[in-house]
Amino acid sequence: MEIILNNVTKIIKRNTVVDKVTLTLHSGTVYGLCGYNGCGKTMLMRLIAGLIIPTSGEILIDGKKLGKQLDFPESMGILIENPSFLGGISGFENLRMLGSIRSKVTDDIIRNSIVRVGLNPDDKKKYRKYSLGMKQRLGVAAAIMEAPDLIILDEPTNALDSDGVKIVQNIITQEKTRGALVIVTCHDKSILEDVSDVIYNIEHGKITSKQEAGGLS
Amino acid sequence: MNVSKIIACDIKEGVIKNKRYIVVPVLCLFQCLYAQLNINMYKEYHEIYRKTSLLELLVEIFHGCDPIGENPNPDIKIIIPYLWFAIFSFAVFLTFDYMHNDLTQFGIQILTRTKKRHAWWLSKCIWCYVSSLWFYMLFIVSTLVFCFINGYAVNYNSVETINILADRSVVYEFVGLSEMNILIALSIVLLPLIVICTLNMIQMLLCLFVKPMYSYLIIIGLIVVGMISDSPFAFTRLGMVTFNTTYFKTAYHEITGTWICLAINIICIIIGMLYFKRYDIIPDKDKE
Repeated sequence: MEIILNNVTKIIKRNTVVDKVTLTLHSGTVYGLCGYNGCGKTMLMRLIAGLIIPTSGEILIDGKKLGKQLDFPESMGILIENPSFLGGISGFENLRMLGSIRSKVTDDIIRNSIVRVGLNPDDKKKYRKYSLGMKQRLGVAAAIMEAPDLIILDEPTNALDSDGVKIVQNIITQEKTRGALVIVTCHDKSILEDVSDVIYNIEHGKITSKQEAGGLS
Repeated sequence: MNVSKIIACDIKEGVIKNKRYIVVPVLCLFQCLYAQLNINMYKEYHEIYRKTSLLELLVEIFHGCDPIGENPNPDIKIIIPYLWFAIFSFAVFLTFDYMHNDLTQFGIQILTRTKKRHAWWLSKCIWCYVSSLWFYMLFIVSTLVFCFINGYAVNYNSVETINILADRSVVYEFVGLSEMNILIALSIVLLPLIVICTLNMIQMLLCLFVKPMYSYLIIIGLIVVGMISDSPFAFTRLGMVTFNTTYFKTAYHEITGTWICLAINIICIIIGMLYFKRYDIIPDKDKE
């Protein structure tokens, strides 16, 4: 998978949230987005996910223009801001419901995804009774369960304990090894540096610097 | 991708599990009791001793009012149909924020898996009609239960009583029914449903442009317009089942109204589909 952002700008209510971003992203790589709150990390993720449309510029996913030839990347798992599921059913049932849309995953795969994030697939507890950390883990499980080519994780370690953080770090590494393109943000820069091959620093919607594993370029 | 699965999920979450629907039978009970009181009063005055029927009850519930703006005599006060207003405003209130909330929460997970924005919008349109139908069915079933409890007739319709109940205008000249037929009976049952579907579709479309509460206020405005004006575009008058040309000369034309509602529905679906193609899916806080 190759994602190309050509001079992408997004303006919301006269406020430039993403400013002339040009990037090329490849499979088998973890890209970290780093910056202060409100600098445009999440908006950039939303643009790549197809949730918002660029005001100018273009986003190409494997050569296909997002918003024209594609509404959303064809194979994508996403966890953006706070995870949100149906409150009245269990985590497993939520994932099974989501999995049934594309019919790509079996119950065993769903169970395995839940186990990977450290939850119990047989837990009958309803989602609304989950703790914040459990909700976050389920959000990660939903993003990875269909083994997507593109995984977007916005602050995946939010509300997680140290074990949870390690689990997420391992999952990101495993997904990268599988060949997925992973884009991740995290307020803890040390975690981001641990998992990312490339880190883009963002300020005022602009990419100000690129830091590769091993140094700043 | 299976659109039917999205629709099934929406129906389950937005209709079957929607606790706001519990209020429908309660609302209906108030409507029925008030209608019963009026019907009994009219029947007593006209010395009619036949059983009340379901259709008569519906005629009274969805009676509505003269267009207040057309009142020829300012000395005569047109009674505002608060209960009629309550039905339509509540019908929209039940699901007024569902699509918006879905789009900023769990719906993102579904939407990104559907691959096509227009498929998601169309599935929401179908859900909108199902939820409108569900509200109306609950209302009608509750009315039926009220009829059974009170020993009212379900299949018998008195033209005489319906004419008496309908003949309450200071604006139009009354024509009345000469006989009851299936089309007239159907119009009494279906016209409010058409208005509810149309209002819900407008509400859903407006939610793409403004916050649900603001779009709901616009809907309230549309319902009020139907109480004030009898212009063809005051389509909510269609929900006043006797204030039309079947009963009154020069009143609201129900066929025109039905076509206008149909056109509004089609326009909402098309505009929604085109606009949603370029719609930014972000939480309200990020839009400000």
